[in-house]
This record gives sequence, structure tokens and C-alpha cells, in this order.
Amino acid sequence: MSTDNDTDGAMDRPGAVKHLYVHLPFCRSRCDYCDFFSLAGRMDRAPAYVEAVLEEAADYGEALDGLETIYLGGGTPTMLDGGLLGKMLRRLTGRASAGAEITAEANPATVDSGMAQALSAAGVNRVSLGVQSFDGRLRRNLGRSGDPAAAGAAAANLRQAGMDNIGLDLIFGIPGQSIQDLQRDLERALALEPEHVSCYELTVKEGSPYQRRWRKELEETGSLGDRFYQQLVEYLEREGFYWYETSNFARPGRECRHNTACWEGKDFIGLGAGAWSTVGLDRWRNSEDLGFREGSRHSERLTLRQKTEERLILGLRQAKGVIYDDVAEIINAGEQRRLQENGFLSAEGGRISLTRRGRLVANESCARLLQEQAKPAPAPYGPPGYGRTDT
Amino acid sequence: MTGQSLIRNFSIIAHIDHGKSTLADRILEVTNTVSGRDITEQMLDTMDLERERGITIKAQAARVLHQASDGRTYMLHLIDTPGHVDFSYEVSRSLAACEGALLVVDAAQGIQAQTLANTYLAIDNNLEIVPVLNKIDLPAAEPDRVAEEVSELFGLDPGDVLRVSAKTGEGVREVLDAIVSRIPPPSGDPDAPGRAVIFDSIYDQYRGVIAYVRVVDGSFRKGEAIRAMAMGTKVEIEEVGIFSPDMLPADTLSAGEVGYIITGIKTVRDLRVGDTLTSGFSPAVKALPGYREAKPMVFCGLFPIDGDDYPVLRDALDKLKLNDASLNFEPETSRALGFGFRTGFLGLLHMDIVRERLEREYGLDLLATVPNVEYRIVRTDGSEITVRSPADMPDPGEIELVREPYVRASILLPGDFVGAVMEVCQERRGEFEDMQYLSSNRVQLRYLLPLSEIVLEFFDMLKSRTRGYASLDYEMSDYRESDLIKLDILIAGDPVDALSLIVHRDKAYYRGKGMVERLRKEIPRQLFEVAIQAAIGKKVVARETIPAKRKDVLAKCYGGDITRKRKLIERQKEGKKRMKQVGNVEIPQKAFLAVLDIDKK
Repeated sequence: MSTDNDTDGAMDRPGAVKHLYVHLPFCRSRCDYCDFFSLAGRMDRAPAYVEAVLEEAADYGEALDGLETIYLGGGTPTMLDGGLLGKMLRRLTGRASAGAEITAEANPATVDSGMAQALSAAGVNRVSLGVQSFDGRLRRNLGRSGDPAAAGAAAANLRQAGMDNIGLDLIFGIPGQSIQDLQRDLERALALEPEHVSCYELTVKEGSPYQRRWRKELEETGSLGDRFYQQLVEYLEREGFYWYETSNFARPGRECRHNTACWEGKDFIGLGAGAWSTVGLDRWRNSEDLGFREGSRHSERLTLRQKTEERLILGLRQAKGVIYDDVAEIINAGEQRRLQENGFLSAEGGRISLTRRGRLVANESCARLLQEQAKPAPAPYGPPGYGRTDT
Repeated sequence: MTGQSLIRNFSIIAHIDHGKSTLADRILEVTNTVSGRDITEQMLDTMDLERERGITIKAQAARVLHQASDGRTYMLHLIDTPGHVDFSYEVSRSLAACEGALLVVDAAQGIQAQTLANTYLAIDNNLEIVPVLNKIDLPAAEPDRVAEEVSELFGLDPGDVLRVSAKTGEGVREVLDAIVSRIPPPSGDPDAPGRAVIFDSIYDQYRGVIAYVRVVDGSFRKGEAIRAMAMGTKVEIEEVGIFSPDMLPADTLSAGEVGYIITGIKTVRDLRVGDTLTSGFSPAVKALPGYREAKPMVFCGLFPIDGDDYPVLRDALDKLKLNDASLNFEPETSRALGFGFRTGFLGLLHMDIVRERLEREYGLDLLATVPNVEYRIVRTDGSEITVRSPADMPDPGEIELVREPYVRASILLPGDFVGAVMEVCQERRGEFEDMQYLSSNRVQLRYLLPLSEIVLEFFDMLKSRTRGYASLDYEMSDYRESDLIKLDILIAGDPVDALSLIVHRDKAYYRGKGMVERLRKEIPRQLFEVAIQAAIGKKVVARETIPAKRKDVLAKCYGGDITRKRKLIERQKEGKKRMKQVGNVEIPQKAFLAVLDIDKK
């Protein structure tokens, strides 16, 4: 594992990092529920921004040679025009190893045949389409503009351009959504024959205007949360998808390699505004600003224990779980036994993983596993008259 | 040394917020005892807790010099006393140290039950009452009406009722003059063997116990051997002094004077409030009257949230006990809560104060179980036991009868609310004794009530049913037989000892139902379905179910989110620390107090 040299403390200067994230914070309009950094419009700033990203990449020098995955996220990377995107990608992919996974997130409405061709030509071999929902009413409730049919057209354009790895992102738990609505979304998604499906439960910030506006509906969909999950897991598995991470499903072999690397705790570098990087025990974030190069970085240093906790938390979100020995020292044995006995956790072949039932309560399971071990009571403890010297 | 004719000793009787501490501050200021710039609010309340809550917990004293209109300078001793019913014994001792009392009444609110009770106490102790209406500067003040009420109540001349604003200082000099002219001087025998009543005692970690005393006969000086007559403690005086209001050493304390006596004694238990100090060489024959041992009335289990804190809690209680002779505790083990102490208190305020001090001054995180009173149980074999914890209640088959403490309660309220309050008392198993109109719209209701019914938010309920106008006072009556049973709460099939209650049979169903409903709301969903039952013996009287938590997982977890998500799960983990794990179930602390709220609905 690339982070096995964590302990030597020599990670301040990144060695070979295999995974690169690039944040492109441009959007047609801001979505009410999204809390990633992005700006509506401002496309005039895009060329300078791309330059800044490339400069930042250059700063890392050889550390970025031999990349195994590149992920363009946003924002809406495909808001950039094909030429600019192509220029940036060619500079970055020039440093990738053969067979690298190069993903671009895309808003379906932006993927006309020209964009599809441009992506393909620039070496992108995986596209993740932010569909969210095919249902016009639910899209409106999300504050999401755009034609629900655009996803079909985008997928067709991508196929035309030779893209053979397409992922569709859906959101569930939308105000006003029923189980049947979700089922229809899933069916319409599969009709486009994607290789990968991500299903995210809508997460609304506590106290946000969006939450205030949809309070009642959100309570309703919130109470259905576990049924939404059951429905989508059952259906997608039946259709031959593998539930490899809490919110992610893939045809065999089509798991997103970039995200999987993150979840395995591997080092990654993020370029651009608001992008996070993690190398060894160091984690930092660029400022959320188009002029991020001038802004100040937030940085933190994890303790070994925190790093191990993350290994557990992220590992248990994955079907394959986590290598037991990697996390054994922070696990509360009593809680582990309790979770195993009650069918939430399984231990097999040197790994522990959550069962299907356990995966839906991963937070609670982790919080329990991370409990400090109860210290044994010191011998003279207890009643009556323990240690008392007076009468 | 001042002749007794120039000494006046007085205390101030007032309801909370009626301005006792402000008036005391003003007296210190007007007499130049404390210079203006040294004045802080509530000068005599030295504990943070006292200042925050606006109450007096420990008695304090101050000597002030006042030049009266006759041109002579008088030595006035003000003894500031606690005002709450929990501390009525301390109040009685402070009163015993005085010849007079200022009765301070809010000119807008009129007299309250506590004040009434304490004033009667003062009258019983032959104190001269000087009535003072405070807050006459308030727009809502009705000095004429309240003056009439006060004078009617205690048979005073309405013309004698002084009117002041402690806030502005108006009328404060007149109060001082009245103290001199109306309150008689002390009348002890300066040549008799020394006798002094201890009206409070505090423990100071450097100086040991400091007894606050009023010398009745004779005198006391440094180096003298003395004896506490009730406790038999013999000790030598290290220092005597007066309160100015800070402690100021003096050569002697003579008959009529108020001051302090420092000995090397290490616990207030040896120099208790109410005890009489006398000379070790030529002791007085008779102690001053009125001493009794302060006995705890309510009990609760105190458990450290973190079991490792048990020794810290023990040491902290030991320390508080040095300064609080009424605090009483013994080790207790709960299956649910681990090791802690069953702790006895004078009342709920006392309990609250002790708990808050333990948490604040000793950094403890505590869980207090529902308070209960002390029961006397006669077993079928004829033996009698005292039960201070539901856990100690014998099996129903072994119980011949149960007795519980009753109090005689006096409730003062506006006439309009009599019906509502009688209903509350009825619900609380009260026995009506009598009703009396103190003035045209002011009624005194007297009820005999089980103490246990008062312990749990009776007062809050009284307040809410009378829009805050009722006030309550009570005194112990006797033990009476009641049909009491133990109500158990089972969580996931296991009885949780810390949630057991002793209740009247007629209320068992109602309480049980309330408890399980309340617990269902307080206990968060767990990974497993959890049954909550209330049972009397083997018979389940109420049941609720907490469905299992079926989904608890974050949607997205990518690059930058990781720190945030880790923290979220860490918080979830930390949250568990504030829960008590009982079997498979995590119970939040506040669930253990759920029972307190049942009657609020």
C-alpha cells in the first residue's frame, strides 16, 4: 500500500502519487443542495483558471508522473469548452501511465456530440453523468434545471464517440419522491445501459434555506430512507450490478478506480480551487477561490490513529471491507463481538466487512467499533467502604 | 468592647428576589463599612453559585457602625441567612442569634409563604419585627396595600412599616434608625460562664473550621479552651474576630457580640450549627436551646458518568462534607450505573447545589438518579428497616407495611387559584387541614402531604397553576402508613435498578405508562429493537417499543469529505460516552431523569 511508509514522517514532499483530482468550479447555475465550491457563469475566467491548475500541477513536478487515475470533478467540468478542456487534459494525461483511468464528471446538458468527441480525443475514458433524476417534478424540487431527456442524448453522444465506461449519478430522498418514483428513475437509468450507477441520498445541510423550505417533505423521505436503500440495492443487484460501496454500483470490473483508491486510503493530490489532497498523514486544501494559487491553504496533520480510523470508516463502506490487521488495534473487541453475533459484521479471510444489514448502519457500527475499550476496574474498587479512611 | 446597650443584632427575612441582598449591600455602603468602589453585587453572598442564582446558601454576618439620631454610635450586627425551605434549620439558628429581624417584602408582590413561615419563626423566638417594604420605586409597587397586609398578618401598626428602595438607597437610613430604636439590645449576662450559639460554620482549608457565633453570655478570647456542648468537642481557640464584613481579628468577643471563632478543627461536623460553645474551664451548666441534628430528607444516587471518576467523586464528597454537616453519603452499587453514592440532602435545592458544586468545582460529570425520600418498612417478621433507595426495597411478600414521611405544607396564594391548588394537592394525596384568608385576596392553605409528592416538581406545578403567585413552605410532620410499591423498569428485558421507583399503588399504572412513554422518546434508536416495560413484581403494567435503527450511513464520502466524516463519526462515538450501556442498550443520561417530567404534561 502506498501509505505504508506513513510512519517515517518524510511525506511532506510527496513521493509518487498515483491519483489526481482536478476541481473545475464552473456551473451553469448553482444547485440548492450542492455544497461543493462552484460559481455560476464566470466562464471568462476559465482560461486563466486552467492555467493556474496547470501551474499547480507543474509545482508538484515528478510527484505526478505515472498517474494511475485522473478525476475531473466540479462544478461541471464540461462547462469548459472542448478546446480548453482538451488542452488541460493533454497536459495532465501526458504524465499518466498507460491504461490510466481518466474520468470526467459531466452535466448531461453539456454533452453534445462535440463535447463527447473532445473528451474522447483528450483521453477521457470514463464519464460520470450527473443525472440526479429523470423526473421533471423531482428535478424541479431539487432546483435542478435542464431537460430530463438530456441524459439519454448525452449517453448516446458518448457511445458514439467510443466511450465504453459511463456512470450515471442519481439522487434519492428528493422532496416528494416515492419508492415508485425511485424505481422509475432506476429503470430509466438502466435503459441507458450504464457500466456504473451511483445513488446518493440527498444530504441537506442542517439549517439551510433548502431544509426550511422542504422540511415536511424531507421528513417524509427521510423516514423512508432504509426502504429507498433496500429498493435500489435489490433492484441493481438483480440487474447484475455489484454494490461495491455504500452509494456505488458497478458492472463487474467497472468500479471507479479513482474513488476506490481514496477509500483504500491511498495518497491523492487535488488541483484547483477548494481541492483536497492527502499524502501520508498530511491533508491540505486549496482555498475556495478562482485565484486559489494566491489564497491560503488549509492543512492538517492526521495522527496515526485518525488515519487508521479513516481506514476503518472507509473500508467498512466497501463490500470487501478492510484488512483486519490494519485496524485491529483501534477496534473495541467487545463491540466487534456484539456486532458479529447480531449479524452486522462478518470476519472472513483476514478481513472484516459489514453485512448487508450492517452496511445501512455503517456510522453506528463504526462509532461502536471505535469505542475506547472499557478499562478493567481497579481491584480495590467498589462498595462498601472502598478506600475510606474516616468513619 | 461596647456595652450591650449599644449593640443591636438583626437578620433579614425576605423571599427570594425581594431584595434582601441588595438591602444588605446598601446598609454596608451607607454605614461606610465598605467603600463604594469595593461594593460588588450581593456582597455577602460569596459563592459563585449564590451570586448566579441570587440566593444565599451559607449564612454571613457583618458588623456595621451607625451613628443614630441620639448622637451615639451603635454596633449593628447583620446576619444574612439562607431563605430556602431546605435550610430552614439554619435560618432558625440565625434568628436565635438575633433580637430583631427586618421583614423585607416586595412592595409589588406582597408576602410569600417562606417569608411568612420565617417571620412566625422569628416571632416564636421573641424577635422584634421591623417590617420594610422594598422596591417602592417600581411602577407596580402597591405599598399601601402590602403595608396593610403585612401589618394585619403580624398585628403590627401600619405606620411602623418602613418604605425603601434598596436599589436607589431611599429610606435606608431610616431602616438603620429603626433597628436602633425598635430592636432591643442583647440581654445576656456578661459575667456568666461563656455561652455562644454557632449559627453557621464553614471549613477553610488553611484555617480549619470557622464557627460563626453570637456570644450570649460571658466572653471568649484567643487561647481559651472551649467545648461544644452537644458534640462534646474540646478545642482551644486560635483566633476570635468580627466581620467587617471581611474577617478581622479581635481580642475578645463579648456578650451580645457577633463574630467568629477559629479552631484547628478539620470538619464542621465537630462544630455544628446550633451547638453551644462554652468555656472549657468553667463551663455553663445548660446549653442554649434549639440544637438539633440536620437530617437529610431526600436521597438520590450520584454516579460518575466515567467510572474512573469514582475516587474523584468520593474525595469531592468528603471535602464538601467538611463544610456541610447535613450532607450524608454512602457507597452504592447499581448494575446499570456502576459505583456511586447514595447521597442524602436537606431538600431538592440542596441536592441541586451539591451536584452543581461537584460538577463545577471538581470537574465531575455526574448522573443523579431520581430523588426519593426515606421509607420505613415493617417486615412480615416484625423487624423494621429504613429504605433510602428503591433498590433496597424488600420483595412484596416480605413487607408487612410501609410508612412514608409526611410534611405539613403551607401554601400562600391569591384567592382566585384556591380551586386549582386544592386540585394539585388532592392529586398529590394531600389531606386538607385548613384554609385561612390572610387578607381579602390572600389565602393560606394548609395540607398534610407525603414528602415524596413534594419532592418531584410539586413546586413547579404549583407555580404553573397559579401563574407564579403561589409560594410554599413545609415542615416535617410524621411517618404514616401508605400503600406503596416498587415499580421496576425493564429495558430489553432487564430491570434497570437506577430507574426503579417507589410509588403509591394507585399511581403505579399512570407512572409506569408515563415512564415508558418518556423513555421511548429519550432513548435513541439502537441497532436492535428495544422493549421498555414497567412492571410491578412480575406483572407488566406498561410497554413501549423502540424500533431498530435501520439506516445510519453517509451518502457521500470522497476526498475532502473524509476529515469531516471522520469527525462526525467521532462525535457519534463521543456521544456514546454520555450514555450508559445497559446490556445491549445505550441509555442517555437524561433518560434517568425521565420520571421527573412525567407530571408536567
